[in-house]
Amino acid sequence: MTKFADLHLKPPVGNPIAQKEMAELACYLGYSLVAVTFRPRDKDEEVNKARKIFLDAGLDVASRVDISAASRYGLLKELRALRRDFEIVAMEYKSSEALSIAQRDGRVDVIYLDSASSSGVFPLKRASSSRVHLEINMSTLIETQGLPEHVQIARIGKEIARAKQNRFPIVISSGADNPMYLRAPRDLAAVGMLLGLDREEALRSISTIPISLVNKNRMKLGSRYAGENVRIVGVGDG
Amino acid sequence: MDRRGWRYLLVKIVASKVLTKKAFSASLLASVKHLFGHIGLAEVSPQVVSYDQERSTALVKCSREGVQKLRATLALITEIENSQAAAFVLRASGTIRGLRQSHGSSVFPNSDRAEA
Repeated sequence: MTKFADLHLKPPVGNPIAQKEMAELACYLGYSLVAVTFRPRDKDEEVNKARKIFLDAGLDVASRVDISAASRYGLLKELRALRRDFEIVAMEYKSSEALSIAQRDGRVDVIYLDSASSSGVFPLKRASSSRVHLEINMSTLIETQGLPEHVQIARIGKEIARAKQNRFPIVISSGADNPMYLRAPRDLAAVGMLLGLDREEALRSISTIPISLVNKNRMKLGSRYAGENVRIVGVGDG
Repeated sequence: MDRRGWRYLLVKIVASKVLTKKAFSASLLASVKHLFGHIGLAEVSPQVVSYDQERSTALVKCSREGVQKLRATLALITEIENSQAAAFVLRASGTIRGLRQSHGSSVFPNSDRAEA
């Protein structure tokens, strides 16, 4: 049976009722893994409570942080501070300078464009060492306060075409901050197909691609990770 | 003559107010038309076969070729009759019997609570 993942849930921290509602709905819709977005300043106690709510609903939970740095210095500073604390590090596109660094830095997992942005330029160019994924958030399509709907669809379609051209893995997420913005995984894939992905790519973008990203990062954050394809299997006495 | 293939979708609707079959059906048709135009609407041919108001569940029929477009349309619904709403496809099947076997919902035709 296919396992589905939503890498971008933004439940209100400190509101356990809303968190529980989202967790139960995500489970009901068939997700097995969700990434919950926390802010760096969120207290450990609140983070653990939120994790527990999602775990109790029967979901695997990954922690995620969204960085929105506008400069190279800002991005590198945030990456140094946050990388080891979160399983997913995502960067919101604010400037070409930060984006160009994020595309080359192995510590950034996901880049995405915010819904409120009116910028049509998203200069994607994959570096050979890059492991960054492009994220398409459903919330950018359904919360269209910034731009008219057809402009958003055209813009996201162009982003997907450019990402495919540059061989970026694409992830489709809900970006939901309340249960009304959650969607069933296969419905997200159908929207992906509408935006230019083929059927197989669309299904991978909600299943194998996000799940393998989380698994890889968990392995890296584990104590046995030594480097790319190098794992510590034991420590000798001498 | 070729027989047209249909798909049946079991759809759960979450809304801030109670919706009728007529309201959901009108909203669905308007959304498909808004996204794909008249030609797309003809291609998808969506029809609300039955609707369980109590459970907010609908059985929607569409052409086999239009099933992905219908799923995308349902995913993009955020409002029905000026109130916040969301729709989720719980299951899709080629026959009503297939859906009935996996979901014992009262939404299926010939059940007590199904709205005609």
